[in-house]
Amino acid sequence: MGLFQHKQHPKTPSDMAADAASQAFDDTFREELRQQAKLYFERIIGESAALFRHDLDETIDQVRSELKTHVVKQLDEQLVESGKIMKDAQALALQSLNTSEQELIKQRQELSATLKSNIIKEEEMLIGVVKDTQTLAVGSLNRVSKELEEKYQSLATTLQTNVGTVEKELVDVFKDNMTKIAEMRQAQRFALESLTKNAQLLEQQYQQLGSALQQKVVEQENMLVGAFQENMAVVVEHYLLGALGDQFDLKAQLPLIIQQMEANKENIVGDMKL
Amino acid sequence: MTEEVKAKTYADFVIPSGVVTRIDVAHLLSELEWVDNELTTATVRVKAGAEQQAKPSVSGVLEEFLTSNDLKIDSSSARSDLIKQVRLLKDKVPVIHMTFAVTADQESLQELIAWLRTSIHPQAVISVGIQPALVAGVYLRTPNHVHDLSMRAVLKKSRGILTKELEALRG
Repeated sequence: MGLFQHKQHPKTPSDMAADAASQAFDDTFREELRQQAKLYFERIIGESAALFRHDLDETIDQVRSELKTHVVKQLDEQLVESGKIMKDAQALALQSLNTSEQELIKQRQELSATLKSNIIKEEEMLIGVVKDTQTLAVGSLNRVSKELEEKYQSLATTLQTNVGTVEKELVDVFKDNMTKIAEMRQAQRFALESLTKNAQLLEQQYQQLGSALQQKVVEQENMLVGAFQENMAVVVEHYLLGALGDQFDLKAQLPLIIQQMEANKENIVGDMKL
Repeated sequence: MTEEVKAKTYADFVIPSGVVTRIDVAHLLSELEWVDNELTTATVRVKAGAEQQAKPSVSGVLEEFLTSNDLKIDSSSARSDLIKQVRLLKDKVPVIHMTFAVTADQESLQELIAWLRTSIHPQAVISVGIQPALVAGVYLRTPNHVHDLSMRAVLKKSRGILTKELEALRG
């Protein structure tokens, strides 16, 4: 390719025009044109945007006013229609209320009539029942009174017979009690006699005990006196021991000791031989 | 000399008046043993060439014992026999226990032992005790019997008299 790069071809007019254009429209000129075109385009865009905004605002205002009127119109129509419906409903409700009230009154009248008739029937029935029960009660009362009278008469007869038997029994019991009382009196007399005997025996025992106690007291006294005398002897002995203990030395005692040993000499010699 | 010592047994010994108690007999024995040791040592030294030493001095009691029994302690065998017999004497000597109301002095004891040796047993020794409650007299105990020769015993015996006197006073 490099070999044929510089090969001369005959230039066409369009090539020539392109060369001329490339010579006339250099980079600087192109840049200037680009800047001018940019500014122009921006201006055009700005103007178009302002016009578009203005148109858009106007359109929005128009749409708003039309919508407002339309909504008001629709609301008015709806209100009128709903008023009509409400009136109809009220009329219907009033009508139904009136009819129900009438029905209620009618029902109440019917109920009161049936109630009255029922009450009258009940009263009549109750009066009949009361009359029946009264007649029954009177009959039963008469019967009971008759029975009571009969019972009273039978009781009176039995009472009279019982009184007779009880009287007899009481007389028997009284007689028995009399005999028992007589026996008790006798037993009491025996008991009193034994008590007096026991009291005499106790008195004798008391006297014996008193004498024995007195004897014991005398014996105890003698024993105590004996013990006292014994102790007194020991006391005197101790006194003598204490008083004479240090009075004699062994030299002074020696003759007495030898004398006593001499007296027991044979016994001592016998002990030593054993 | 040796034959005489052998012939004399502990039963033949005359005990000096200075030997009153068994303890005195024991002292006598220990002194004899000491003298024996001294004399044996001296003999060995003389044999070894040392000079002859003076005889050891003995106590009066031992001196009296030797002289009264006519005993000689020059030879070693004689001393040995004597020591053996004195040991036997110490073990066999008849002891009389005497309890006094007051402290016993040596002089009185010697007088008592003299009487005991002449009247009761020639080799008798005494064992001394003190009991102040005895008041006076002696409480004597031989190997087999007890003889209460004290004033306390006399008072105890005559306690009946005192009681009678008190009864008489009471009326």
